[in-house]
Amino acid sequence: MSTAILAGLGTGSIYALIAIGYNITMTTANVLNFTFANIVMLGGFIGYAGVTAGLPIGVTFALAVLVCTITAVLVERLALRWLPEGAHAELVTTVGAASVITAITVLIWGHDPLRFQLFDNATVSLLGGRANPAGLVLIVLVALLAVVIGVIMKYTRIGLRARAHATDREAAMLRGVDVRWLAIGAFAAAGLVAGLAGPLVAATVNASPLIALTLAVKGFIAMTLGGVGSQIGALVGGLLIGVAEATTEFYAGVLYGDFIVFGLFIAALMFKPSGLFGAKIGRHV
Amino acid sequence: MTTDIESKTTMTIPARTSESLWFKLAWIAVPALIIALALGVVTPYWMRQIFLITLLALLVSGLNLSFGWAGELNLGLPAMYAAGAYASGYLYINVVNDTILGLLVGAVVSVIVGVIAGIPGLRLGGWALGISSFFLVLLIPPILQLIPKDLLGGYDGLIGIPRPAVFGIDAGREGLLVVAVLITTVWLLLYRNLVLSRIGSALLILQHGDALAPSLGLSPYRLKLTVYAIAAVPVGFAGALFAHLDSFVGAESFTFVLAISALAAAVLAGLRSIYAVIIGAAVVHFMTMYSADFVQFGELAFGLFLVAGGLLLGGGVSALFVKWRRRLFSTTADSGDVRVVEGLHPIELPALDGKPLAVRSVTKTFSGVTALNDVSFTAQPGQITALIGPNGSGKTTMLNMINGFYRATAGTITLGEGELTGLSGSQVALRGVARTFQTPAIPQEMTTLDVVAAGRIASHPTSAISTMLRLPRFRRERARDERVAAELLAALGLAERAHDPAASLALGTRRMTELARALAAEPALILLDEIASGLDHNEVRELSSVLIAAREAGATILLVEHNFTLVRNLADHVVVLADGELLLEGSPADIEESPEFLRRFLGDGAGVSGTTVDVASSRGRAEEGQDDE
Amino acid sequence: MSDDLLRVKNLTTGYGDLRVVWDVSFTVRPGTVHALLGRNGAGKTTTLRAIAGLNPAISGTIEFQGEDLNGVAAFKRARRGIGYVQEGKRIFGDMTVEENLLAGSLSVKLSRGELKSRLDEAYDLFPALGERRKRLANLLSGGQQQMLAIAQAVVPQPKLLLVDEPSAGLAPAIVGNVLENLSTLRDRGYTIILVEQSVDFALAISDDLVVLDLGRVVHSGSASSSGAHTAIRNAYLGRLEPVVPAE
Repeated sequence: MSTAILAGLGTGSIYALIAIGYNITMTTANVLNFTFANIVMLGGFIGYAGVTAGLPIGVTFALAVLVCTITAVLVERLALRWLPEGAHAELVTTVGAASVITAITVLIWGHDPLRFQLFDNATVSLLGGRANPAGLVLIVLVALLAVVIGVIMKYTRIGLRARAHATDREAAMLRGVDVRWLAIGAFAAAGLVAGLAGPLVAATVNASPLIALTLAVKGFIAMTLGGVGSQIGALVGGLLIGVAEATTEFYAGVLYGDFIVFGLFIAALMFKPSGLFGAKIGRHV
Repeated sequence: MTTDIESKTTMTIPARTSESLWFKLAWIAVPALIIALALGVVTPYWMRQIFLITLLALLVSGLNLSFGWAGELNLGLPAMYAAGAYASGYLYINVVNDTILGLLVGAVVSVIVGVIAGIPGLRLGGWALGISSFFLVLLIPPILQLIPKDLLGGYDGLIGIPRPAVFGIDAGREGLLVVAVLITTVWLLLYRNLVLSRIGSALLILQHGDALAPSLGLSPYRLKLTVYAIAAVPVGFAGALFAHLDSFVGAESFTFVLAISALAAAVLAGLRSIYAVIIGAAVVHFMTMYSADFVQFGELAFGLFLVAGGLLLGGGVSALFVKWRRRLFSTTADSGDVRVVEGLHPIELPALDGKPLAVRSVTKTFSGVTALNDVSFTAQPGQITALIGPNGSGKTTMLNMINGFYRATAGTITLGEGELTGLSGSQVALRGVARTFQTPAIPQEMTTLDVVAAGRIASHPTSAISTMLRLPRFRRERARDERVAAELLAALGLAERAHDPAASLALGTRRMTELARALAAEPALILLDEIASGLDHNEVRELSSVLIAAREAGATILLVEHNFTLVRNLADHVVVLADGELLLEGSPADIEESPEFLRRFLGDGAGVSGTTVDVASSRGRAEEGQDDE
Repeated sequence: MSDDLLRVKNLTTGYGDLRVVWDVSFTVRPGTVHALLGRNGAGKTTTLRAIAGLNPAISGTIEFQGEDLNGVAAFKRARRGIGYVQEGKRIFGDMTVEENLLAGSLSVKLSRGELKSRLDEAYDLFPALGERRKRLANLLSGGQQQMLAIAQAVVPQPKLLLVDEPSAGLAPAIVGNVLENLSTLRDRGYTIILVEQSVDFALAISDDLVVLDLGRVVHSGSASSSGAHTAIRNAYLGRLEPVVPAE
């Protein structure tokens, strides 16, 4: 049972990670960066490449961060910068960009899930169960990110710029906020997070292009459950889903996990669409 | 002089494409041609390709209807497709092997699955629907594994589907293709009928913004749900046909890549296209077939395509066709303003059944802030009542409450015998309240005639079924729509602009069009929100003559205005609001000379635009004009 | 002439290709309050937006401190010292009073000490805000929100302050306060372009004025000149032909 809960916290932290990544661009630029999960997976592949090439672990992470940040900024510049009128276009281009990234990873690394280890121990004993060290580090990282990003948003000047921009873009411009760089910055930050976490994610669930889609969807659900814009909400939402899924699978079988997640999502949409910690994200300007 | 009057007040409506003989023949000839070719000339390999293209075309048209027209991205298409395929597959194996019946079952199951999964997401729209519908696709493998193997074959797939048969006659590959072509033709006709109608106009209006749709009597949620459900039908059809293709249905056919390729085909064809879906489907299909490493490169190509297509989003192939056609065959002049010739015969409008509006003790608070406090006034039929007051006096809030956008905290609003308090925006519109907006909300593709005709959506609704099947009721209403709209446009001097895209007109002309739309609804009450703002003198004069004509016809008109000159010239009755309270009520002359009005607005620093003059001279006038104070 | 703070020459601007303001020219001297008057829809706000950089100038020039602002993005103009109090009390509703003031400081680099003293000055000038530093801006009254809008624009000590209809929607008593606040700012040497529908409000505080009607200048000059009142009355009461500009 504890293994199940630990596993649930592990996958839950991945969902939380995706939700946090979504929140970064939502709270800054009012855009849902559907490609985020793919970029995380890309980071995972870089991690795999680095480890199998024998690079020191620090270099591997640095490389992943570099590649992911560049990719994220490219997505912003190419797929989102020149959107024509209407929300339609954003849905189409981000789905397209996500496919492009997936296709590229498949071209380079193929379809099959790739297994690798970041740390020397394959598993670690904890609380009576066994856990993947990468998974543990990931949980800590995600929790840290949620807190740090939340703090940045609330207490720093950068956070103030971001919140102002998300609330009222024009008013933000009039206060000297360079909205262009803000958007780029937001995506770069998302890329940074993806690069840091990507190798850990891949080491936990194996690097695979197909998983990105599931993660993208469940991360969205975590964000909805937690409340759009709240990093703590993303953390809670993600862990909640992860644990619910893992315990359901433990007791009822592997097949039922997805149903419980879907159920949670529908329940949230029907009864509390603003989420557990949700505040209104701000008017679309 | 006579010729001028004639040309400006008569209008011919060009014959609709659908009435031409060529058009009707095409609907029979083209499918017949395809069938003949397929059966007679073409090899089995190509027959299969044609078949697959028709399936994809059905999927794409469903996507167009829900995404392009209703604005809801349905990434769950593969799940609905699977539902249709499995349901009809089961039918063919275990109940009766009849393709026609299979089509029906497939459609029904697809609709049920789509709607159930879609309802929660439709409430929120945007990504919520895309994600929740897509989740269904992720659930396909577990669902298949949970259903007993002997029912649907589990994860290995449903095998042993018999050859297609229609009414007991074995149809074979050829018969299946004929059925596919025919059902696609029928569906495209229904789809076309649905969107080239007031419902299509309503969908365009819906996408344009939240405020306009309810004021035309449309409930956004219900309309979207209806269209979303209808869009599931072709997907179900495709599923039923697919089941016969290889006598096998398996989960690997229903993936995210399918959703992406359908989306790519839709973007290529044009998200709102009808006939071009076939082209889009064909191109995407061949891209799929002819790349050996399809799975990698295909996804890459589709992805790039979506990015590019999304950015350019010019409306796809379909838009190109429209542009060429317009360039080659267009005879109408480019946009410009049409001026009513001075001295033209006075505008006459058909009689309107205006009802009296009574606002009684209405109060509205927004989280602690009181916007309106105990305001009462009336507006009578056959009169123009003006609601004036400085910015922040609550005029717009009052208008929005009469309209049903806000709920009154206290007090009642009645129109004639009926009560408006507490009704939603679309319900109020259905009671005969028409409204114009300061920024005329006019969707890109609608012609002026369409815009005006849209005003009748609330007052004379038609059902989706009636629309798709072009039943007599629909035809009657449409003919009347066009006649009423044409008469109004002619009366307002806009006859020449009838077939131009309304969004390209000058501001004054757009305002007139909005007014014509409000009149087309034969409203019991007309609400005008600063209809003269931003217009020049000539335009204001034209507008005024229309309002006077409407008044003569018996309408109840409530005018929210800043422009006091207009109010003085036009209003029979003036209601003055300040700081959320009723200050004065009376004729324009009464108001202008009222010492309270003068003191309040001219002496104290909170001015009403158009009335504030320098204090000295206004006080001078007041003293001259008044006997007592 | 060389010490004019702002020179608008033959400005034509609008929204997209819809022209709202035609061939407008006027000059603003430093340390003065310059009123922009006219009926609703006359083009006053559009002119301000063009100066702030939110609407592009279709033709004509806007010179700020001798430099042409053509092509300079709005956020850069804010950083150069053009502050804008938009109409409708536009503040960040989800942020506290203090955060709103901090947001105002985003266009300039200040040390911690300087920032604190700027905030203290703002609280001095607007005591009502000082008493509600941690209150969410959404929960302030209309008058307090207007004060906050002005206060946050003043935090970076802009060289040119554009104020759009500060009296709109406010009760007469509060309007008096706003008037006082603006007078204080003028006394402290701020240069203000004030857009107002309320003539009395504007005349009480302005040195110069420009009257717009249907997007064109129909009068410009000193606020105390006799021609001003006639021109204003004509513009507001809607004479059909625009009055020939007094100069």
